[in-house]
Amino acid sequence: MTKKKGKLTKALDHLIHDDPFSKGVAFCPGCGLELLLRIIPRVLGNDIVITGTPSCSAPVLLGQNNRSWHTLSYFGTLMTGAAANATGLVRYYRKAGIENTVVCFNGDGTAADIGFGNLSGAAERNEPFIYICYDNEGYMNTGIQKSGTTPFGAVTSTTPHGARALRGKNVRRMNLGLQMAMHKISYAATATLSDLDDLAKKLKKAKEMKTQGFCFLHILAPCPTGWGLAPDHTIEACRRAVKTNYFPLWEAINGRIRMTRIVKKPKPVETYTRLMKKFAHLSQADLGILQDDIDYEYCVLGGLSVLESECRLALSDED
Amino acid sequence: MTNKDNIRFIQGNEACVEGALYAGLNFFAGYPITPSTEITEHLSERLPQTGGKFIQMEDEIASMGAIIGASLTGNKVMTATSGPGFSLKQEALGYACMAEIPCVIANVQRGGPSTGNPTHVSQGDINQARWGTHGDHAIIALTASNHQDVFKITVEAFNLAETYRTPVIILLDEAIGHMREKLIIPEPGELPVVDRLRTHVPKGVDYHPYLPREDDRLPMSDFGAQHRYNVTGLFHDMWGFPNNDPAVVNGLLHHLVDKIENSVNDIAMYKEYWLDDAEYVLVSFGSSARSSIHLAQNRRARGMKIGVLELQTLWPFPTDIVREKCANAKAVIVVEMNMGQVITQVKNAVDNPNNVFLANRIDGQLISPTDIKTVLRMIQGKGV
Repeated sequence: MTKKKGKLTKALDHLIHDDPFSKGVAFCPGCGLELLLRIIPRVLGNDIVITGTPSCSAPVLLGQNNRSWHTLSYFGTLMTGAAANATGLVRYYRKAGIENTVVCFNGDGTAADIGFGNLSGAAERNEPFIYICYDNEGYMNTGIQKSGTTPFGAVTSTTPHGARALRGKNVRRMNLGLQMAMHKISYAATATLSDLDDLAKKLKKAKEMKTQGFCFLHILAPCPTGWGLAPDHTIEACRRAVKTNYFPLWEAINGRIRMTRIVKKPKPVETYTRLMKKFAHLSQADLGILQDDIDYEYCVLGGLSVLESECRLALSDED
Repeated sequence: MTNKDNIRFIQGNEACVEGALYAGLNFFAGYPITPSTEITEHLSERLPQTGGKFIQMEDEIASMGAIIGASLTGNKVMTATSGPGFSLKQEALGYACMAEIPCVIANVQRGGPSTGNPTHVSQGDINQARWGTHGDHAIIALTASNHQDVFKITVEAFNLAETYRTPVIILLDEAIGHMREKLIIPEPGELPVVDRLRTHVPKGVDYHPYLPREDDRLPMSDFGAQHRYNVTGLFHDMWGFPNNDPAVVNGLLHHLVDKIENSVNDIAMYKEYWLDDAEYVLVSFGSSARSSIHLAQNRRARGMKIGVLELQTLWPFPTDIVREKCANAKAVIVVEMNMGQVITQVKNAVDNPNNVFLANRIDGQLISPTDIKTVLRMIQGKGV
């Protein structure tokens, strides 16, 4: 019992700032995004400049009809220019010598699809700000359509399950976190809500590293409404995503990948998929494909995390 | 007797989907955006069932690019969007105008500019449909006020796109797109469906993709099939090779504009209500036409000589038809949900522009018959 209590304080230790959000914000019950959104300013401070796009986060971050739910500065940008807008901010701050933490807070639709071009551009230029992608694996705000990070087999309203070989998304997801780490940016990491201690540490690290260059955090934030997940299973879904290696936790400093949590005996992906309706129709063969995908991504990650020590070859003296 | 199976109670967006499928749509690339998302969603289910291809692309520009590619290979194509997405599509739209690639773009209008008022009605994209992409060009844009007409103009949009080898824009608005009402789907053959004019030039013989026939139409060859040819957004000659010879540039630009502007009366679609003896003419389109018709009906019952001209073709603007229909009017009231976009065209068209008045609403609410009545009473000098 005491051990459990100790663990709890560990995560809470990082939440040193006030919660700038009021109670009763306009999120669905069990929304993963809400928990994440509340934690960010509590770890990074209430003086951060936060930018975001039209998405599930926007109604709360922007407020609506004379109602505001927080006391932060929020810059609601366009989806096509999210990272570019933030670039404009940080370049000015840097020139003027202003110390500001700019957090670009976007969903997977912006990060992986429509705004990927200028996300990649900002990473290439190593712009000094933090880009957080909260990944709920779909365009939830417009009514649950598929995105680039929607996993194989998942049902959305544009990848339906039904007659004539319609069985959810028929292609695999993109690995956004790894793609960004491959830009060799200052800091890239994945995190999720079941490991708050890990999440908070990574946020702090990002704040520290952003003075040197671009920081990217890929955070799995379940959407009970869109996934057909019971609202009280949000954290459990995150936990199982980590335990099945569906969403492994790692960080990369200047492109050097290190696992922050190694699951010694990963569970089969069914333990994760059976929690939610979006995977309910999957056959054993489909689950096999999904499992294969997860194994592939984990192998790549595993390989990359040891790459540096094992693959650095001595340079030849010859011309 | 209508077949019961053909009667639906659906949204305007679904009526657009049904119309597109009736016209032979077999390739759709889209990106979800309120309030046009239902078109994308329904086609993701319907197109695979009818043997067509549905793709959700990563952004608006990509979905426009995909339909241009698919159209070149011989498919009937469509994409659906709303204001911000329509802005993103503009460069590719100009490309389709220049390379003469048939395609249909459904724009379910929401309040703008920018992200604007996503879930509320507006008719603010009329001028964007005309001049959104840069440079001189001609464009076809259609609109409708009820689901039966949405179906009809969607079929017509495909017909015009294939006939004139041009992008055609369907301008719906949020109220029409999301409203549910009855739609009777016509039997196959009931509405004309135009298929693409394909070249008869056999394989191995020189094919000139941009050499118009005597009637100015360009027979197409499926790209990558029988013939090899160039497609470009640059000014080009009859082979499709880039060319900046002043005569070629002049000729091509005239061809692009004239093929549509010279057919303005063929393309024009409109509906008229009680115009024969009308002293007051309401010119409207889309969902605001419904309020206009309601008001006119109501005033007619009280003996007022009032009629409605409902435009279904907005571009090329049917100037002659508007002039003719408004010739005997004491006053013309343009009813639209923007700051006055169609009124400029109506003022250009009529003999006495001083008698043209605007009844509009721009607050995201549907214009009501009372709103129009207020303007009408002011014109009549009765006070409100």
